[in-house]
Amino acid sequence: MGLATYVIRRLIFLIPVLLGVTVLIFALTMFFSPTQRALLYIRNPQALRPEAIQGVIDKYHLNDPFYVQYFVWLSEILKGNFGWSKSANMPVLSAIAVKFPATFEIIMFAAPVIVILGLYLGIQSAVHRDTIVDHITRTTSIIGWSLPSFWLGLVLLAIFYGYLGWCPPGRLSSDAQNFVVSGQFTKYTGLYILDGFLNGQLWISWDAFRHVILPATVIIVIDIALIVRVARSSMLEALTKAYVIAARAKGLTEKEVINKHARRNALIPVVTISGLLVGGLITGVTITETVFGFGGLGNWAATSAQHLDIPSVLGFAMFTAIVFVITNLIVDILYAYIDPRIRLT
Amino acid sequence: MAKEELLEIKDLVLNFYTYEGVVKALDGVNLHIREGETLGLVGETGCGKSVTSFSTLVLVPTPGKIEKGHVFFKIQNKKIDLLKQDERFLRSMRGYDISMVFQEPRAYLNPVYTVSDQISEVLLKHRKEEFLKKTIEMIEKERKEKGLEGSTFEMRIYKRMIEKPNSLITRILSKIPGSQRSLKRELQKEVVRILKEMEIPNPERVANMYPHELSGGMAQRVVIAMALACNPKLLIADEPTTNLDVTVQAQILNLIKRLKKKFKSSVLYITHDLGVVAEISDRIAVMYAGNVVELADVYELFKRPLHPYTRGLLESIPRPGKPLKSISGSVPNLINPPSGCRFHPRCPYAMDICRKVKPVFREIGKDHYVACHLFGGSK
Amino acid sequence: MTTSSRWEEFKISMQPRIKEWKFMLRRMRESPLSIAGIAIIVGFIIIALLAPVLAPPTNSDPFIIPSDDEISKLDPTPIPPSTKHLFGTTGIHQYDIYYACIWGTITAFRVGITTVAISLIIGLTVGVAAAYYGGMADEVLMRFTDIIIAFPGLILAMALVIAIPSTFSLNISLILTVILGLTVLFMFLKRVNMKITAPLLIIFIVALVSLFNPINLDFNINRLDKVLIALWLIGWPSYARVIRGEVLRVKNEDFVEAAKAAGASDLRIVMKHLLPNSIYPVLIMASLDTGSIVLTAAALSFLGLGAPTNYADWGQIIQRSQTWIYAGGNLVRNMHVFLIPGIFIFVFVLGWNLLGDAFRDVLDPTLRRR
Repeated sequence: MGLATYVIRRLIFLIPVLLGVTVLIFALTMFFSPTQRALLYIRNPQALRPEAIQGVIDKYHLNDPFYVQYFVWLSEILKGNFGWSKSANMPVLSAIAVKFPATFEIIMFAAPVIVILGLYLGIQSAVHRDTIVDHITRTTSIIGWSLPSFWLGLVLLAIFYGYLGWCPPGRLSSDAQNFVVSGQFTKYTGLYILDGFLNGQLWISWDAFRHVILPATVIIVIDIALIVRVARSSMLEALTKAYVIAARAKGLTEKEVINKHARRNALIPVVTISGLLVGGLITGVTITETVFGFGGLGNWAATSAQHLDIPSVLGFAMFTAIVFVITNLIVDILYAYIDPRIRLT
Repeated sequence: MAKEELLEIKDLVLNFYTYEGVVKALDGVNLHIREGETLGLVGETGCGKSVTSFSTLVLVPTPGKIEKGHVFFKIQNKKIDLLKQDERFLRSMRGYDISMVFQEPRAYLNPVYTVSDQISEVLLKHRKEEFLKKTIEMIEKERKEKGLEGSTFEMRIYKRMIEKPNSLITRILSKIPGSQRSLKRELQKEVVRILKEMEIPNPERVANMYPHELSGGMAQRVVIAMALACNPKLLIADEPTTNLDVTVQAQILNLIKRLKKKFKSSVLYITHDLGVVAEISDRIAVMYAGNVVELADVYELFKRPLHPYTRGLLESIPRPGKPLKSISGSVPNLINPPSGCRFHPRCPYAMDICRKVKPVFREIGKDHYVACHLFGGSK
Repeated sequence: MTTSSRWEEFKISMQPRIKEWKFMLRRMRESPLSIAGIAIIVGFIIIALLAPVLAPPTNSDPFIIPSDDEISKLDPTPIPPSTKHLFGTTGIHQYDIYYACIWGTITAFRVGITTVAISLIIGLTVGVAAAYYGGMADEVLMRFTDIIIAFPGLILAMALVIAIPSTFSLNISLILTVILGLTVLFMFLKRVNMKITAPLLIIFIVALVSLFNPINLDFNINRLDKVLIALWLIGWPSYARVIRGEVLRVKNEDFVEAAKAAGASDLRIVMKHLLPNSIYPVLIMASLDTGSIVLTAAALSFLGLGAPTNYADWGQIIQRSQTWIYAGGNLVRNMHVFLIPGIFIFVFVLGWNLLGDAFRDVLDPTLRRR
């Protein structure tokens, strides 16, 4: 079957999982009493009269049998009503939209480095197996994987901020922050590094870069192990395959054998694992944003959890699950594109 | 080396250094192949047939190591010991002068590239200049027909690839998408032609298929096409039909016979199947536990087998109405092989000297070689 | 047949497996990284066992970190390492970091091992059941694991931790009735041996009867327990998937057909044939998982969602340093608050990762028998 049919099939399988995700989140909300849940939809709970609460309970059918509640809740979700975020002082969905660019800026730096550098190191490790390059790469990546990300963040912060003063926490220094909210600056993308260029204010870009480099580095150091390990083992396996012997028997140089034949096959498991990488990125971002006070989604989710801001946490959880699922779908499609064998299944 | 000898393997010794010990896989292998002939190499599984074939290409897999011996190959009327050549020379030879065909064809084809990609690869490796020139001619011809003059961008890239193949600029230019279109077209034409030669129906379609879409027999033809793409002098076929259905097997055998005649190549055909080897070979070499024990013309071998192992093999072919005969004992462990002649523990004619001294491989009678003390192996 | 010759037979039948293990052990001994991993874990076990000696508790609950309230009234900033407080103290309540690190070891083991054990049990059961019975059961179970896997671990743990209530009342009667009822029904449908079904049926009837005067269990769930429960709930799906994959792979092998033809029962096939062959990847996962569970738990504590403030937990102590971050100079001066507990976490996780990696190398098909 062609690629298109495969994509459609995978899309169809997506739907039960997404529904299941909503069911799970819904089940979590059911741990709270109707009154508690009603309050989640309200902007200013203190100002509310007790009778009004009953009105909210009725509006959202919070006392009805759970299947009814689920449908009401789901339809609210589909309308974009995730509840009110206490910590962000705006509807949850708006909070997500507002805070997303910050998180994306970190990921924008971290993800390509992880994938490209990880691939390169993994493949070099495999090709030069059991040499010093191999040992160093494997050791450093296993050390990276074992580090608590918040601890690494704190250590780097102590060195590069506390001691050297180069990379402060937060997203922008106060000068830059003031400039950005003033009328002289247009937020085209919400990504300050990019916007700095687009506004012709390079110092803003530089400032943003200084602030983003440490959180991104933490995530890179920790998550690169994932890619290195898989790239290495899949490359090792590819090098033992029969078609590699056949390639040599055709008179190809070792370099051609590695780059043309082994590498493309080695890429396949790496693509598969990239889906997991997204999970690692989301987790990493949550923690590093908290350590660095970065003001993105992760920071917001952590603070919300500390303050028992339930709609925020649940909204965030659902958002990340959806992102995760969609990313995995893209990864699967990429996989089918690279490996022609998979399109048959 | 006689005048028409193409390949001579002389006293080849090869060891595998494994966790469990040193496996003395090849114990002084001797064989020779003449121009235009098919030499069948028979033996049980594990006797060293495949290792010998890989040694011919000097492609020994680790942890193997060639200890001593010679692999003489005739190139431009000169006898060259391949074991003494550098990698560069060997690479120019692999796929061009000597090619190999393998046992499980689909495993030996890269699953992420099409048939056409993989065959073109061999063409580009060894006949690049030829195709570049051909492409340039084709473009010139086409342009002349259209009444156009001068050269196109593509033509200039190709000319540069011929003149300065290794310069950085050439490599960058050749990577521009779309710049290799005409070259690819020419290569594709050749690929289709070769596939048609292999009696593959619908060659244009097959050329664009992936290996997993091919049947066993089809895949094997593709692998043979890849091997013969540059018209090698020697084709090594390592059990190419073992995994195929009997009917397909017959087709492939006939194909090989036909192609050999057409391209005037020699074939080293490795198998454990006596029926197949009798069908296809001009001469047969019998291998046991890392040695070639007998080498003779096919009729001669079947009429007058000399070595006890050969005799045992032929007697063990099942015949209707007759009780099954087998060779007593089992294949020896090559980490601790038997002393002297490796066959002596199973040989019904074993003498005292067989335990102590390894018999020499020599010519007994006209063009009939044996390594056995019964036939002057002690000289 | 005499007992001695049965023992001889058993020894002979185990020979190849023993040879495999010997080969594996040898490879593990040869790799310096695996030795380092084992050494680290053993080291931590010793610390955990010697905790009462190394850091004598000052409270009836040894997991409560001693705080130095007199000093804290004078100076709320963290005290750097000194003879009185070996690793220093945190600010405000002045908790002794050395104490927290030592007893935190036990907490770490507790969190890691219980979570892996429970995840394994649940995961293996679900995975094997799904793979062995196939069909609808497989689909349903796998959708279920898919849904949990759809969330990044930490995020789902966060959501669970805040959703799980602090007091919990379980209607034991109802739960037992439902679970037993379903199990008995399942067993009837799959025609499981009566010897197993009968006792369960009896318990089911007892539970059914007790519904009229239900037995309730009231729980007080403290914050660390919530973390544990959350980890248990998110940990098992990956094991289920892996074991299911392995069982499916092995299920189609010929020797399973042969066992069935020889009349082996389902359970026997699973225990004797499927599990031993599928277990290796799970082993690797388990040791690697221990490390990542401890990291997740530490992250939850760091985010303030885990162990309470005075509880001996590594992540928790590091959380104390959060207060001192934004005045940059203070971060350097108070580095001891996070540096040393962090090293504990790092080395502990490193040990398990090295072990898991060593397992993986040993069982790596491309490396065997070179």
